[in-house]
This record gives sequence, C-alpha cells and structure tokens, in this order.
Amino acid sequence: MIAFKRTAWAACMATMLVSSAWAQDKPYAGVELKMLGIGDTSVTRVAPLVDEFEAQTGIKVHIDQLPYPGLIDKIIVESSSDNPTYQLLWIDSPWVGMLGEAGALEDLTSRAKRDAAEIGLNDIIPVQLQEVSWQGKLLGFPASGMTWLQQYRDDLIDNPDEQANFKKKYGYDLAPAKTWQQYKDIAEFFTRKKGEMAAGKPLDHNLYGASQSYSRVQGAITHDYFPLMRSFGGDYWDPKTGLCAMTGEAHVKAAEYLKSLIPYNPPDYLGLMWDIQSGFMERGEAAEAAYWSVRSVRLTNPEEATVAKDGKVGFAANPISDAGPQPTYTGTLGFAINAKSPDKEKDAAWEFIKWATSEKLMRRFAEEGKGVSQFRKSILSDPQLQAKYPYYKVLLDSQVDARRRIFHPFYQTVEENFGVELSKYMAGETPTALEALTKACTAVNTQLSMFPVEQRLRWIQDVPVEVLAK
Amino acid sequence: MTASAREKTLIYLLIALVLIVFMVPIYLILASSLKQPVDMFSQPPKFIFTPTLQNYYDLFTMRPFHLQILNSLIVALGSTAFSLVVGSLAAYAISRIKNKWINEVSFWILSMRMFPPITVVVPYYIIFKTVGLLDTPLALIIVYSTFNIPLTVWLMKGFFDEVPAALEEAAQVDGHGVIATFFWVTLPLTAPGLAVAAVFCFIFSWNEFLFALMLTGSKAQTVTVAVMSFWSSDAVQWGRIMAGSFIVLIPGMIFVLTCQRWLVKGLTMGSVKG
Amino acid sequence: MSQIANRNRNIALIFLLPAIVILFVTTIFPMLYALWLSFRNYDLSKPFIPRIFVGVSNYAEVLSSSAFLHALITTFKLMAMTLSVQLVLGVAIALLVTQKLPGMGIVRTLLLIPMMISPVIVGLVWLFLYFPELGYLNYFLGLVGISPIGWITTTGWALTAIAIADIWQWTPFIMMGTAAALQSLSPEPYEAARLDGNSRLDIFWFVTLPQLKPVLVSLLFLRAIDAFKIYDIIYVLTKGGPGDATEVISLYIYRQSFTFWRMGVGAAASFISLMIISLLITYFFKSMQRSQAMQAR
Repeated sequence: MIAFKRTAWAACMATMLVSSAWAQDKPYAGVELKMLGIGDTSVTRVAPLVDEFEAQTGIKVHIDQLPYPGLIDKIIVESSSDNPTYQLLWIDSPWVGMLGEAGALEDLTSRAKRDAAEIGLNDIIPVQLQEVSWQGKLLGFPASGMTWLQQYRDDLIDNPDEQANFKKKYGYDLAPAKTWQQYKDIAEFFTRKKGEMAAGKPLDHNLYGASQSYSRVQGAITHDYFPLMRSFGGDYWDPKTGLCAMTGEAHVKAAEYLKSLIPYNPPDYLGLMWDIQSGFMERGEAAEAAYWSVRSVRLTNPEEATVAKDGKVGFAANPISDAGPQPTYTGTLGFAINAKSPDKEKDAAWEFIKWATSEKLMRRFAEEGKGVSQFRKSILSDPQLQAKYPYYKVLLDSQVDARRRIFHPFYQTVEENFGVELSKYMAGETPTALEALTKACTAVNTQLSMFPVEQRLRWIQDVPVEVLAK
Repeated sequence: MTASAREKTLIYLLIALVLIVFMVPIYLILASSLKQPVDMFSQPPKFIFTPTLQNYYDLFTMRPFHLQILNSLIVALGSTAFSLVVGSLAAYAISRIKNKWINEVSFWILSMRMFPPITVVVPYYIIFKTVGLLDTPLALIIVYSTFNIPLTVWLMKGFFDEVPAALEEAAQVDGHGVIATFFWVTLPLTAPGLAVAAVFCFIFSWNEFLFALMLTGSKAQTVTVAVMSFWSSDAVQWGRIMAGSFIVLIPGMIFVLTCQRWLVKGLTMGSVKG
Repeated sequence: MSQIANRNRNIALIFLLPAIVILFVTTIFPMLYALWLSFRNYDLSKPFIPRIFVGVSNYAEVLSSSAFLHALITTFKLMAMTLSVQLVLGVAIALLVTQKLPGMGIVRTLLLIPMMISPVIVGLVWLFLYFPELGYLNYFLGLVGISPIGWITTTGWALTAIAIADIWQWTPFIMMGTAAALQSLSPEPYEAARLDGNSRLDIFWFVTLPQLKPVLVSLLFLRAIDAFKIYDIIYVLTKGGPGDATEVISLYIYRQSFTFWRMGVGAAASFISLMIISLLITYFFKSMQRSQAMQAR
C-alpha cells in the first residue's frame, strides 16, 4: 500500500515537473496573432513557415497579404481603433514618422536591448535600425534592408571593342560609372537602335542607356529623384524652420539631371512603374539602371531575368556628383507591433519578429535562393553568399556611410506633390525644374506651416536610435 | 424577323468585328496568365512564348484562393438576392404609385448610389467594428446592398412601367389578389429585367475593391482583394494577377448563363398574356 | 375599379417600405458621420492634431479650389465621351445580337465578359495595351505604319485612353439592358409596321426606339452615376496623370482624404459632388418628364 502511494506520488511529481518545464518552454502557447502584411518577398518567404514557428512556440500566426495600393490607408484605419485586429504590421520605412507620431507602433527599445544577444543586435547594419526608428525609439524591426544601388551590364562594359570606342569618344576608360557625368556618358554611348552592334553582336531589340522611373503612379519618380537629390548634396528640410527646402541649387540640378537622362530611357518612361522599369534591365534592354536592392536578386536568377544568362550584371554604389561622396540612400521594409494590442500579444508578436528576422532564418533564405536584401553583416560578408549574390558586397560596403530616407509624418504629402510636379516637369508641362519644385514645396508647406516651429523641427530630427547607444 | 442570306452574312461579319474588339483584352488576360515573368513585357510584345501553369499554381498555393472564391460567392449571391427582392418590390411601388412624394422617394433611393464611396469607408468601418461584424461576409452584403438596391429599383422601374396596369386589373377582376397578380402576372413579364438586375448586382459585388479591402481581413477576404494582393511593394506580379482575374471570370460566367436561362423561362411564362 | 386601385396603392406602399427602411438604417450613420467630418479639421493619421470644428471653411476651400474645378470639368468631359459612345454602341450591338440567328446566345454571353472584370484589372490589362513601347496597341499601329501614340503618357491622349477603356468595359452594360428590353417588347407593333411596308430604319426609329426609351433612360442614369464616381481604372492607368489630365472627382477626394489625410475636406468635397450630380440628374429627369408629357399630348 505504502509502496503504491509512493509510486503514485512520484508519478504525479514527475508529470508536474515535465508539464511545467514544457509550459515554461512555451509561455505564449495558445496566443493567436494576426499580421497585416503584403504580398512582398519579405513576407511571402516567411508565410509558409509559420507552422514551424507554431511548433516551436505554440503561437499561431495568421498573415493577411494585402495589396500595396491602399495598404497604408488600411494601416491607418486599423490604427485609429482602440482594440486592434492586427498585432503585427508590415511597414515601409517612410511611414515610420507618421505612424510613430500617431502612437500606432510599439516601442521595441527595451525588448531589443534585453534580447540583444539573441537577435544579434550588433550584427545588424546600424542604418537599418535607424530606418525603423522615430525620435530615437525603435518602432519596427528590419525584415528586408535595402539601398538604392546601381546596376550595369558588365558584359557590355568589359567588352574590348566597346572600351576602345568609348575611350575614343569620351576620352576616359569605360568602367562602371563613379560619377553622374560618367553615368550619363555611358547611357548616351549605349543607347542604340535594333540592328546596331553591341559587344560585337547586332542587337535584336532597342538598347537603352538607362532605365529610370518618371511616373507619378505610387510616387515612382520620387524614388528616383530623392537619391539623386541627396547625391547632389540636397536635403529635404530647412534646419531652421522645419519646412520643405527642396528648391535649392542642388535640388534643381538633380531634377535637371534626371530630365537630361530622358533621351537614353525607353519611350515608356513616363508611364513606368518600378517593376516594368527594372524589367528593361532584366530583359537586357538597358545598359544601366538604378533601383532598390530588393529586386537585385532577380538579376542573378536566369528564370527571372534573361540577362542573367545572356549577359552579366554588375552592381555598384550610386555614382557621386560634384558635391562629393554623400551618405548612401537606404530604405527598409520592416515588421512592427501595434501599440494598442494587449501586453501578452505584444510580447508574443516580439517573439515572432525575432524568429522571422533571425540570422538563422535569413541565412536559410539566402541559401535557398531568396537572397533578396539582407541587413545582417554576417550574412552579407559571407564569401559563399557573396559569390552567389554579387550585390551583397555593395550592400555591405555602401552602408558604412549611409543615411536613411525620408521619414517625416507628412511623407505621403511630399511623395504625392513631388510625384505630380516632377512628373509634369519631366513631361515638359512645367518649363523649369525650379518652378516644379517650388510648386511642390509650397503645397507641402501649406500643410506644414499650420504647426508650431518646435514641432516641425522635432519632426525633421533624425535622433540616433537609442537601442544602439553604448 | 427573317433576314436574307446577304443580310445574315453582314450581321455575322459585324458581330465578328465586335467580338474581336471586345475579346482582345480578354485574350491578353489569358495569355499573360500563361506567361513566365521574363516574357511578360518585351519589345515587341511576345505572342509566341512557352506557356506555363505556374501562375495558377502559385495562386492557389500562395493564397487560400478557394476560400476567397467562396467568400466572394457568398457576398455576391447574398447581396444580389437581397437587393433583387427589396429592390423589385420598391420598384413596383414606385412604378404604380402616382403621387407627388414618389419622385422624391425614388430620387432619394437613387442618390444612395451617388455618394462617393471613399468618404463612407471609415464610418462603415467604425460601425462594423462596433457591432463586431468586421471581417464577415455580412458586412459586405449590407454595404453592397446600399448600392445594389438603388440599381435594382431604377432598372426594374423601367420594366414595370412597360407592363400595362390594365393587364393587372384584368387579372384582379378575374379574382386574383394583388400579391398573386404581382407574382404570377407582372413579375414574369419583367423577367428579363430581373435577369439584368441580378447580373449587374452580382458583378458589382463580385468586383468591388475598396470596401472589400477595408472591411475584411483573412476570414472574409474576397477574390478582388486576393488578386490585387499580388501587387506588392516591389512588383506588380502580373502573371498571378492575370491568372486570378481569369479564374474569377468563371463563377461570373456561370451566374450569367444561369440568369440567361431564367430569362428565357420568364419569357415563356410571360407569353401567357392573351 | 377604384377599390382595386386603392388596395393596389396600399399594398404598393408596403412594397416600398423594406427598401426605405433598410436604406435609411444602413446609410444614416455614415452620412451623418461624413457630414460631421465635413465641418471639422480631421486627420485620421495624426491624432495629435486637434479635431476642431471649422465651420464651412472646408466647403469654402473646395469651392474655391481650382483643383476641384478642374477635377469636375475632367469628370464631365469623361462622362460626355463615354456615355455618348456607350449609348450608341450599346444599342447598335444589342440590335445585332438580338437577331434570331444561331449562336447569338453565346455571343451575348461573351460580350458580357468585359463588364465582369474588376475595374482594377481592366486598368491593368489596358496598361498592357497602352504602354508606348511595350504595349500591344502601338505595336499594331506600327505594323500599319502609324507612329506610336503616347496613350497614357501625353496629356492630349490620356483622357481619351481612359474613355476607350471605360467604353470597352461598360458598353456591354447598355447592350445587355437594351437586349433584355428588346426581348420583352411585344411583337404586334412590328407586324403592323411591316405590313404597312415601312423600312427597317423607320421601324427602328419610330417603333422600337420609343419603346426602349424608358429602359435606356434608366440605364443611362445608372451609367451616369457610376461614371461620375469613376476611380479604379484611372487609379491604375494614370493615377490622375500625366500632370492632372485625368484627375477626376473621385481621385481628388481620395487624395484629400487618404493621401493628405484631410478627411474633413474630402467629406466636404463629397457632399458638394453629391449635390452637383443630384442637380444634374434632376435636371435631366425633369426634362425627360417634360418631353414625355409633350409627346403624350
């Protein structure tokens, strides 16, 4: 009898110990999370793996993939409500100012600091963390870190005939453009019609020197303009008043330069949205292009780009202007947590973010061919991966001196107004760049001037993100 | 109406012309859906290419597309049925009643369709969130009905106008009640109108985007949003979007064919009139 | 007889009730909310901006805005282009496809497909057609020696390009409604007219058309209301550009409400648009009634 009681008691204790250990392993078991996501590679590569996450942590994650047009609208509408449907949000870094100021996003600083070792905080390229921060607070976490980089046809530039002809015409050696003047020369040199020769072979299609975006759809032209503007030394805001200041000499020069590239662009230039614009490069119909590194992986994949097998694409940092080297123009697609969710869900969401952006998972994506745009130094500097994705080295090197893209709460106003006015200038409707830029700036300032100057100045401050402070 | 052989040929030629003009974009949808990403855009456009079913495969593996089709069906059929009933009844009343208020009322009903939808998205979001109907088919059915009922009313009014009151009065003199007359005499004569209204209501509900985007999440997401979700931040995934667009034509076509058959049935019923 | 007429009328009133009640209940809150918004300075994305009452300044801003006026004019231009062509084309095609010839049923069904596609997708497909160098239209034009047209990239063509896409999508609407009406017309007047030896054109003009009028008017009104709100196609094809050549009312409101987040202004613009389209519809409605009354005499 006593023996039986003892065994029963031991069995009970054992079960309790095991189950409490199991429970401690999965403190958030049973929590259900919903993510407001997009059909973007940064999300679609994670979506099929959520079952693994659930097996690990017991947290069930449901990702809604929504269209990009209208996504920010839905995020704002969702954030305006006090009991949110979505705990996790996919964000594009320019929205951070608006969402941060609205108090929609949870400050991840304390969690990131606490789990710094686990997330490899030091492994992340610092500017990528800066991109998802607002007033020093970490309001999101990078899922896809990108820069605006240059792509060029290595096979054309390396060709000895082309090099000889180029040197004869322009007086210097043909090489990937380091300055914007060189970029233009190369674009001019390689703009050829079907039938003309290129790299010793007759062309079976028109070749364009460059492929930029001049469309106002989704503000596409501003994606091309702002890196140029920064490269020419221009900045967005007046440091004394916090108002739009994009009407200076550098800004005008940048706009005029963009316009001067038009003759070397495909005739569709005014109607092109990003992926069609980069499609010219992918089909080998453009000699140079500049774009977000998030699409660079396609140029290394023969299934997505004919140029990957028929030609060879090289990657380089953006050219510089007479203003000298400027900090690289970066961008980030990230995951954020809804500030209005209950604490337990927020913590569970943080677990998800850690898992989805972990070095382990990111490396796995890179090895599986979903190289996309990495933000971890260890992955970008891995020699094997660098061989597989030649743009990794560019990403790594160019982000040593980098500055984030625009993050102002009125970003949408800026993108819309500049998109329209710049597009009009490119189409020839507005005669001068200064006029177009002034119109756009005035429209933005009409809304901004309603706010006190201290508030405006606070908005333009790029406060270093606290989580990186030593 | 008989036509001579020459007339017949002319008619067929004209119809062929019309068909070509209208079907070219449809062909584009189908062709693009079978193209690999590299073939999607080129100079000149590619008419000959290696087709692939990858886009269709992606459609169903990357999204719960079959569930989304079901959602769209529930919403479209629900709103159509509801709007047809409510709308035809109202249209009949408007057609038959001749007093000074009726024009105001019918105009008010029509004005429901005139208000820019964008402005009412947020209040509808608030309402449905408050009553817990967010992300349900019912929310969309309700919203779409505010657009479909006016359409049905205005469409059916024209058809009811064409049914002579004398016919109804004759039936009533024969001893049939008002409601019976409505259902067995008047309504069958307007069956083509009902078919048309049904098709329009269905199509509007099936293709609506803005409210579907804002008012639904994963549970009640419709095909329109699902197809558009392949427009991501870095690319418009043309192949998948076109594949989705092509597939969702099928339920629509089935519905239209069903309505057309009902239309014929209604006509034969209507031929009861003496 | 009058007893039946009276009973009819009472029951008819009851028929009307569900529509009125349902529409009222489901739209009263949104309309009141929008009205409330229109008198306020309301930015949904920035809760730190006080949402104060601003009287009629939103209305004043919209009414004095050249952008709004331009959007209005552009919308009306587009409506004029699309409605006129849709009407003529729709009726003409309806006449063709209601001939009692084999295969017409299939043709009618096929011609409905454009209408069955989501307007957003219609926009995307027409992009395939309209791209200057990558597009199919310019390719075919090139085959017959016409130089490429900047359909969506030049201000001269953009609105026409949108009109063509819209006409393509919605002519089937008119066609289907007209075909349905044609099929429900009684055959007697035709037999009489033909026995009288009238030409087909005369028969159409004097016998068919007057009978079609009520249905055509309904269809046109419905189309006009939808055309006034046109949005998705333009958003995808040109998003209001190039410049603001295709900026229509809906786009103006969307920009105010969701890009600039000035929802009060967007709401005010919505009510002003509602008033404008209502006035227009009323005007045409009244003139229809007047001409009908004159014809009856």
